[in-house]
Parts: sequence; C-alpha cells; structure tokens
Amino acid sequence: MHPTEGAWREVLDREADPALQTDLDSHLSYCAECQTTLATLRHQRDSVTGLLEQLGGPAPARNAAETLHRAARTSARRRMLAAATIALCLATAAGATVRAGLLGRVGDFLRPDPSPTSIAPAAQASTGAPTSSGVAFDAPARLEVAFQEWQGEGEIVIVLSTEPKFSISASSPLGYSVRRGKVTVKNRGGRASYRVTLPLSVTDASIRVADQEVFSRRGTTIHTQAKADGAGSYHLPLSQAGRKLP
Amino acid sequence: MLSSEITSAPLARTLQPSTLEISFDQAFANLFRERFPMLYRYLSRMSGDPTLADDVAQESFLRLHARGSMPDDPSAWLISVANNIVRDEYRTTRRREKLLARWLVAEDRSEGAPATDARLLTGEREATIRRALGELRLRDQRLLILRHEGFSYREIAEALGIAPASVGTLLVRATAALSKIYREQTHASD
Repeated sequence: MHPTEGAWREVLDREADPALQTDLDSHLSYCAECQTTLATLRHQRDSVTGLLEQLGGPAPARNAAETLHRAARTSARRRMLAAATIALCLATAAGATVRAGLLGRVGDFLRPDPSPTSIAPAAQASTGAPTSSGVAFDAPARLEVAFQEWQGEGEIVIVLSTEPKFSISASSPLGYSVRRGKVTVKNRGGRASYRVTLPLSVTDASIRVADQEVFSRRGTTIHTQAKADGAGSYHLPLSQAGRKLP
Repeated sequence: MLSSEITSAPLARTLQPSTLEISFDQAFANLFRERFPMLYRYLSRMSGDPTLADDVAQESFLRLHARGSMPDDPSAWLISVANNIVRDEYRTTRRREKLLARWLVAEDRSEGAPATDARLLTGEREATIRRALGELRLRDQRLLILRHEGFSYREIAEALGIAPASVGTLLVRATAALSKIYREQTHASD
C-alpha cells in the first residue's frame, strides 16, 4: 500500500515525524510509483512557490522597541486629539467662539479638571495681568444666561444689538460654562460688573441671577427689572439692593 | 525555540514579577524579530496592500504586548489576531472604499486619460496570480501563503483551526488547485 500524497508532502516540507520519515524513505527506495508522485508534488509545490513569491515585497525594517514607542506616541496623540475634538464639538454645539481664542486654549480643555465646557478667563496682554474675561458666540434662537448669585456690588448692562454674536464680558476674571445655549457665569464671591450683548435675533432670551429671572425677551416683548437708559441698554444692579427689585 | 517556554505557566508562576516582566519583554523582542517579517509578508501577499500589512502586523504584535503574557502558540495567536483585524478592517472600510472609488472615478475623469499602461502591464502577471489565488477558498489561500512564509504545520493548524495531521493533505489539494487555475487562466489569455 502506498503512502498518501499528504504524507509525501510532509516529507517534502520536512514536517514528517522521524519514525514516519524512516518508513517513507524505505518505501521510496523501491517504489517507482511513489517516486513519481513525490517528483510531481515537488514540481507543483515549487511552481506555486514561484507564483506566490511574486505577490508582495520584502518586509519593512521594524523592531519591537520602535513599534512600541511609536504606538505609545500615537496613542497619546489620539487621546489628545479625541479630547480636543470633544471639547471643540461641545463648544460648537453651543455655537461658541470664545473671544479670547478657543483654539489657543485647547490646553485648558485637555486638563481633567475643570469640566471641558468651562472657559477660562481671558488675560489681557496689554497689562500682563488678567483683568477681565468674556465669552462670545453666534447666538442660537434660544439663550439663557445664569449668574450663580447676587453680589456685594457691580451691575449687569444688557445691550440689544443687531450683531449676530452674543457676548458677555466681565470687569474681572471669572469662569463661564457654555452648554446647549445656556451660559453659566461663575460669579460666586465676585464683585465684577458685566456687559451682556444680546442679538435681536435671539427671540427667546432669559437672564437669571440666583435662579431669579431678571430679564426676558420673548419675541419682541421684554420683561425686566432693569432700568432702560434710552439708548437700547438696560442696567441691573447686582448688589443686595438689586434683589429687592419688584 | 520561542519564548513561550520562558513564560509557560508553571515557570511563570514561580518567577518574581520583575523577573517575569523582563522575561516577557525579552521574549516579545525575540518573537518580533523572528516573526514580524513572516507575518508581514503573509499579510502583504494575502491583501496585496503593503501599508495594510505593515499596520496589521504591528497592531497584532501590539495586542500581544498588551496581553502581557505569551500564549501557548504565539505564532498561531498572532496569525489569528491578524486575520481578525484584516476582516474587521475590510468590513469597516467597505463603505469607505465605495465612496473612494466614486471619488477616484471622478478624479480620473477630471484629469483626462490616465497614463497607466506601463503600470498595468507590470502588474498584469501579479494580477493574474492574485485572481487565481482568489478562486480558492479563503482557508486554502491562507494555508498556502502561511506555508510559503515558513510557518510550521503545527502553527498553521492552530491558526486556521484544522487538524495538524490534515495540513499535508490540504496543502497538496490547494497547491494542485492553484496550479490548475493559474494554468487555465494563462492559457485562456494566450
């Protein structure tokens, strides 16, 4: 009985175990038919080797250390890019363009704390020290501005504008967060005054201090406790006295 | 031969963590040096895409490194992982490729007749071989190329989930089939 072609292929590939190899060598020494089979299999294998050799080129020079190092760098870059993308998406979702330069402040977004939507106060280059801060963005149709609390002093000046951008600026540095059309002014313990520029395109606007609505604009109707100055601006004291407005 | 002996379970359990870590890294470096070129060439011949082959081969080794220990058969493990990555890559890029193909057609039109005759002639033989190979079952394509790259019967059997004793027979059949198909294709084009 002749060995199978599979067994002869194992011989060709030097994969036959030693005992089988001995038996096959012995058989081959006197079996002309198997000698032909082996020659045919060798010819086919070598032909296919020649074909496969033409597919693809040599491997690039790589080593383990370089590959691991590059992967670590890529991973760090991906993490940074992902964080920056998330931060930019969140800001874009709110239509925000930070006046102080959002792109220049990507580093602030990448820090684990504070939250990605908080916007750091802007430093004024002219003085070298932070003296004011602000945020501005293309205003959505609906907008809410929330001051965390009343202050010991300061005021809010609300200016209605034909410009498309909403903005708020403060006379001293403090934080803001912008999320889905809501701007939170982190004025806890502050004494600043604020200027809010409200585009006329915003048809549903609300300004609150410590959860109390102090200014609203629904369509063209304005309700406010602030005083109009006749030039399209409204002034609202943030002092304790301001709380007692009717 | 490979570092699997160094980190095989009984020995690994007796080693101190620092020793184990050094052993794994050393084993990984040795394995990378020995098997990266083979894995790359296997992937390159299978896909016809050197960039993909390079990326996938490296990614496979990175996953092994992230695993932190050597599997019983590291080569078979790497081949399996690489095959899975390629499969996933093709799935996720199929839609992208359709869009890209449309874009390329549009670009070709905008740039007039492409001067690609020489390139086409150069790649004609390779394309014929690839077409013939593509006529085989995926398992047989892998089998032939893995063996061509020098992977052992045991590694091939483990990676492809077939019995080690059947590798020789399957190789004979796949080899004969590829030879026949290639011969037919070249005769048909003469």
